[in-house]
Amino acid sequence: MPAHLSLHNLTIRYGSAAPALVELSLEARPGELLALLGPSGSGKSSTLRCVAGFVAPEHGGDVQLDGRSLLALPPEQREAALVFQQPTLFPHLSVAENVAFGLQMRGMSHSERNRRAAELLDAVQLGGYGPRRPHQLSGGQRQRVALARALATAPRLLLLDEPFAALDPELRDDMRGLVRQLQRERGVTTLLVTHDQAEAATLADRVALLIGGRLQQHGPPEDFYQRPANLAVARFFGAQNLLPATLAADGTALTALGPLRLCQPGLQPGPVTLVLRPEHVRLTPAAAGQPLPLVVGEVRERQFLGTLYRYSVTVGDITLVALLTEAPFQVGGQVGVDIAPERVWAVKQ
Amino acid sequence: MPRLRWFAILAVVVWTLLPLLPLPLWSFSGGWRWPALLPERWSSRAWAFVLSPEARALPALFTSLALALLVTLLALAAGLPAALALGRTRFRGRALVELLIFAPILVPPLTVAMGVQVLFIRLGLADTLAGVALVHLVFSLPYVVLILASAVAGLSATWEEQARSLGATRWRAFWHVTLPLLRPSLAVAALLAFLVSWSQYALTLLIGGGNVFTLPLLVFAAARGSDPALTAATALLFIAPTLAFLALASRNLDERNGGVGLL
Repeated sequence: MPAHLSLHNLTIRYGSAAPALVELSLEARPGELLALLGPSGSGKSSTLRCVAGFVAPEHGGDVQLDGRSLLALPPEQREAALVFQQPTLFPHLSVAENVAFGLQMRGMSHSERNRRAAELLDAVQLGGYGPRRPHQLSGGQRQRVALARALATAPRLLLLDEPFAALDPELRDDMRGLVRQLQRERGVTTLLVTHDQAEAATLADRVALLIGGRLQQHGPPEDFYQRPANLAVARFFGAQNLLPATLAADGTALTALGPLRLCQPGLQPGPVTLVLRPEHVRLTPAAAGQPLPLVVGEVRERQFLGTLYRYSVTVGDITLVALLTEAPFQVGGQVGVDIAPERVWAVKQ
Repeated sequence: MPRLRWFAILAVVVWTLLPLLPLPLWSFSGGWRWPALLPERWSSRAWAFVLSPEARALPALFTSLALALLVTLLALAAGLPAALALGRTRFRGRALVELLIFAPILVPPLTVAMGVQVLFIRLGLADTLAGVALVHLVFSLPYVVLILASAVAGLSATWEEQARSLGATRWRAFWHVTLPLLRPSLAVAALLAFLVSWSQYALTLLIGGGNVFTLPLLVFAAARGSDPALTAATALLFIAPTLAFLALASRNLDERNGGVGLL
């Protein structure tokens, strides 16, 4: 039965410095992969270390697994297995002994341990590597052994601390796929700490974005792209088109590109920033006879990205980025810029 | 490149072994006068005497071995906890503790030994093996702490955290992970502690008062006499265990036993 992890009101402070984490409340549902995303110093690693039991939260905070507090338990009794950025395979043990380490600590018999280790090594596609020493493996193989070792004890929580950051790009994709597959198969509730928003988006069921020790937004990955909670979230997810606007009482945003009638519910009148995804900026020929676009701009730059073309278009002193599948417009030419109001997302300033 | 390497190895071998070469020759010589390149007559007289009971060489060898092993064991047992504290934690008075541990090798040993002798006479430790072991310990401990503390400081806390997240208690994480990772440094520290004790002459004489009769005492006694063959045979007896211990310790220095992966 997968475990349900809930964090209540966690504040973490090291010494007298500013807190690393401020009043974080969050949950990971049973069997879910929750990504803790953020830049360095955001408090994501502190959160993981707190769940693992190496850092205690300030008074009033709690870490609960299936409704029972973990705070009184030492790390070894929390059944929360860690995989670090570096594989930390014990160099004096063989690969199989490494995988069996947690089972040995639980007092499992030698033969049973070996059987389980072999099974786990098969699962990470390293069957037959058991008798080798860690220094005989490549970096990617070591990280797979570290994953096997963490899963060997059938932990209630899997804690991944930037486990892909030290790997080469192609190995990284393989390793991500393997983590996702094993995590789903075994239904183990997982926390993934990462600074890479694309990694969080592709791997996680849900994402929690921390910036400066504070939770900015949590939910499915799509939300962060389509419905960012604030400007910092939009920026972190690489929003390139940020347009200052003033929102009128009737829901019309007054922008340098003209008025846009927004469909977003729950907006308060006042100054806002409009987030336009580059793939939602439409460019049309500025020739006569076409239906009138919103405004006309000038093409400044065209880049071929492999599958898409990236256009930079200036309208007055505003630069917009658009992603197109084809490239009918020339640099220096005039182009119509069309923005669909239902694709625009406004955040408070 | 390989030629330079062979030259370097040859240079080291010559540098180390050449001064030792006359020792076996002397020990088997029955007469060797200048300017002969080799002894004029061969004889096993010196070895026969050294191995005879009246020379007291074998009991001295045994005393030296027992003493050095005891000191090594005590130095590791006392040095490791000190190294863990100094290498891992920042506490008030840390600099003072460091200074006190290293003081014996900063101050000339005889000065310390004089004070220790007075103290040991009062405590009844003078002229005893325990007293000599303790004073050897004072001078080997700084090296052990120095080596182990830097090894501990270089060991990331991640290792123990990894072990604990896999279900190891604090003590078992130390025993199953930290200690094996420290093995190369423990070997070096043990080697130095052994050598410091093994080569002590003045301290052994001063605190042991001649009651604790070790090999260095025997070598010095032989060297004061006028029989080079006897001196050479005693000196060889003195060197042999050191080489054996060095070989044993260096087997633990293999990088595969530690230092792989995390820095």
